[in-house]
Amino acid sequence: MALMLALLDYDFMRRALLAAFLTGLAAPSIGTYLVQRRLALLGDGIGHIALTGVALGLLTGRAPLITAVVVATAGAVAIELLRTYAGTSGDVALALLFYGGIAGGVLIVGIAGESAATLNAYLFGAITTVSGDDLRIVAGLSAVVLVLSVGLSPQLFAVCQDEEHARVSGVPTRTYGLVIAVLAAVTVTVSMRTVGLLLVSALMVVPVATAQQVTRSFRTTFALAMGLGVVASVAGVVTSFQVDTAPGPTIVMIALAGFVATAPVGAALAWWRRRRRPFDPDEGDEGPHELSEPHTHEHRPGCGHLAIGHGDHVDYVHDGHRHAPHDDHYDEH
Amino acid sequence: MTVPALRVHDLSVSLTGRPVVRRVDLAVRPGEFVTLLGANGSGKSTLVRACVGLLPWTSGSVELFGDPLAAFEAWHRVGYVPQRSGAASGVPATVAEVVGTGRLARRQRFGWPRSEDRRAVRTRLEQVGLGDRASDAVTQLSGGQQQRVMIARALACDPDLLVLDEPVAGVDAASQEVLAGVLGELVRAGCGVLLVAHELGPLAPLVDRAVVLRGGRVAYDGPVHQLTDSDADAANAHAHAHGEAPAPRTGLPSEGPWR
Repeated sequence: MALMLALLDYDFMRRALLAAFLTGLAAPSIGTYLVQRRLALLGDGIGHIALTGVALGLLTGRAPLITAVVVATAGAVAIELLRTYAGTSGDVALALLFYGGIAGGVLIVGIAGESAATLNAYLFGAITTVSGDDLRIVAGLSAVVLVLSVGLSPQLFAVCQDEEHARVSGVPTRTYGLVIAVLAAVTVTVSMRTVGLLLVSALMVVPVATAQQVTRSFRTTFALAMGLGVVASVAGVVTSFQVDTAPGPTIVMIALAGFVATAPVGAALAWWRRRRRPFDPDEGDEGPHELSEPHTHEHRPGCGHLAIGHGDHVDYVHDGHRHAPHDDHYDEH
Repeated sequence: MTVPALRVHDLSVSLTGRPVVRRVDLAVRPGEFVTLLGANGSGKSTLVRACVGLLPWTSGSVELFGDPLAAFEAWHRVGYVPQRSGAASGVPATVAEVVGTGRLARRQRFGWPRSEDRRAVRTRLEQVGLGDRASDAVTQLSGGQQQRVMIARALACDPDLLVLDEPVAGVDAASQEVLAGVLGELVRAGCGVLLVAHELGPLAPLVDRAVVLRGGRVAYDGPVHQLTDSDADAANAHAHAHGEAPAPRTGLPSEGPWR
């Protein structure tokens, strides 16, 4: 606590912590929808394209944050349109845009006569150099992303869950697909100063991957991912100040550490749930019933054998067999 | 003469330039249970996907409740069960959350769930026998139960027309029985049903009319029990006589004469 208060004495740290908080909240919020749509790498692609935007800003002397938003949004819309209308050839088209974006960016930065250090600040973040103007843009854009991703959550959830069903429910799925793409582009640019364009996707995806280790509903995954994003971002900035490391990679490593720490818990939970998943009632019901070997133990709830639902009755797992009570004996299932 | 829930007139659909559905006429009246049969590749799925606006068509017309599809807005009157193997996506979701998306058509554009939405979700889940699974993750359910979740989702908007694309493919007998009970109630309440199927199983007694597609054209349109053997051959990838006898209740394998 004393450390936090000491950090808040520095103007640049106040701005850095606020920027980290906002991006930690915004990135996983839109990232949850991307993961749900199985487009976890979209953020990465948009990051590549945004680099061309940054370079154009440096070349023309405009704020790189603004030009990056414009170019990233245009790129995200292009990707979504290619995905919708070009079908299977979409992923090749995506690759073309990714490489075009990063090659164009590096090329234009060179033409603008900027150094590799400038480029690095955008590729891997430079949160301690966030200016007051930068912070205002970051705050405004984060607010837009948060309001839309939370406010439209019933619609966005439906579109990402099952696009065709949502369309037959009268939801304008193409419009919402574009909304998600644009929000992702805005988030990438917002997070550019925090973690950098090459690591931005990590902040969108890793907290979601961590959260879903322990959740079973969309709502809690969404909320937990945002919480984890904030913790990783703020802790990353503080840690990087203390031990003098680069903030962006520090944030991402903390987020990844969170995933590594929860993965065993998630694996254990999944194993436990799978064991209790009911058997489809029809499975193995053909043919005459097979009597279990005679045994004196009486299966009942809490008898120590794993109980699993099977249609209208309960099977008990016993030495690798499933025993179903039947009158005075047990059937093998 | 009541307005049909669905009327398809002279409809042709092409997929990547290949005609798949050719000059099909089809109508589903309120309270009528129509099943669409045909071999793999006969155009069944393509036809129903065009009927609910998921595919463009080359010529002809589709009307829902008397309105041309392009002008149709009352989507809460249509329930749709897409052809799918499961209800899972990239992020965990509970059974209630998935079924809740079926209420969107009844909600204001930016509204969050209201108490009547939650009530509808609960009612429909109980109807398909999953009332106690509402807060479980859909991935914890068996394949047949996930299919029931999709049916509850389609019913959540209280539709007047239900379109189901192969809802019984590979589904256990218990889930098929549940489906038969639910569809029976719906039809009695005046809901029109269009069912794409490979196997009718316990649904057979409910069917008013069978339409058989062969090569994208209607090869038969009439009562199920008048299906001839050759129609039945067309209706099935594997030869088997569709007939009066419903599928045996027990031991119905997912592969076999009823596929």
